[in-house]
Amino acid sequence: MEFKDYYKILNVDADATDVAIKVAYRKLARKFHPDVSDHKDAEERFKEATEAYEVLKNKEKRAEYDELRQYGASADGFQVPPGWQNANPFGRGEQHHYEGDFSDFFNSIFGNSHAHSNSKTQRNRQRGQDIETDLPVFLEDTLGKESKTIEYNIPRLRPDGQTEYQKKTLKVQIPGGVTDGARVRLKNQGGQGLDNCPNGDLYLRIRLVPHPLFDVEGHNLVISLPILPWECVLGIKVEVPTLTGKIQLTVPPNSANGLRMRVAGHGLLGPNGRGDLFVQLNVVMPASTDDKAKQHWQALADMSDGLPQPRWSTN
Amino acid sequence: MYIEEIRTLTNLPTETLVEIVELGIVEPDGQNLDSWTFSDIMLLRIIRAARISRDLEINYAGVALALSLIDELELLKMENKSLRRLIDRHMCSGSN
Repeated sequence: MEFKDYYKILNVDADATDVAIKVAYRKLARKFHPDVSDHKDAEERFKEATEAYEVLKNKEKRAEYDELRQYGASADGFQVPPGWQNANPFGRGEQHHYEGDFSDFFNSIFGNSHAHSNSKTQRNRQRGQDIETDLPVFLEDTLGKESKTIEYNIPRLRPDGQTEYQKKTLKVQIPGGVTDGARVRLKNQGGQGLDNCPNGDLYLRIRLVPHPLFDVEGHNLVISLPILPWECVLGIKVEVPTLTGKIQLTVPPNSANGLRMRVAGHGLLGPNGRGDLFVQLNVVMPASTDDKAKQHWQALADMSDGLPQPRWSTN
Repeated sequence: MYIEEIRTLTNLPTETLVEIVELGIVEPDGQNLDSWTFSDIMLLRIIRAARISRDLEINYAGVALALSLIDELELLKMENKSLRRLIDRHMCSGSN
């Protein structure tokens, strides 16, 4: 078992005052609380900090921990010393209302009864735990009633009080028109309820997978059309990809760089039908310019003498 | 869902739920407490607000402020991400 250095976790010295410990915990809690942080290890870091605080804020538990800390970690990991009995089993003193589970290290020292030690937590525990998980969705999947198979872990309470995680697979239908960050609730598909209480719910957080061609703006899509300077000037008929196929688009003569052309009804599904696709012109230069081409450009430049210059116009 | 179901699912007393609504953390449909209807997403937001309040030891006015700042931050991050993608796209195709 890995030894957990609670002082290091809270980033305080071993002789830190109670106030310093509280301040350090609160700072970490604000930074890593899973409901406010999008740090990839937020949940783990918050759990770790809460566990450390649970021990270090309590004089008796801190004294016990300090005693054990002398043994520290060895090459083979930490072992509870033979004959060790915690003098202060959980259930005494001030309780923190943490719903999650602490580490094996914590349980081996202080027991694992903390989760059931107060009535508030017990009530919460009877109904299964709600679970939140990300569901990556391709833009194409948001147009219709696509189904996707998801896999997630649900917590189960073992008879010995420890929590174990079980893999669950579920086929879900993606609601048409879902947007990035939207949440979908699947009733009773979360953690198992105890004593015939209902299961928790599963919340899917929709994450639209970035598309190689299209950008999303609300229910509209934007595609960038690389276009050569003379195509802008002379106009061009061009094939443009859409989410479901291809369309023919006419770029009119004298189109400016950045011009957006609207193709109605080829966007994402919204409350009032499908949004639009905007094709935005992006002028690109030819890869190389030989002498002959340069002469043509020069001829154009000579012709433009006397034309009004648009540079730094304030109008 | 009516307030009674929200109460059962969240274990929060009615007065806390009223406070959450009065602070604008969620905005249920309906004119008064008995006719308030909550969506699934509102339920999730209430659960989230309760967790933040309990774990970070802040009152619901503080939670309301935190949530609205987080909402704004998420929106800006998404906007930023999409603008960055747009810039990258232009830079890439411009350099070809």
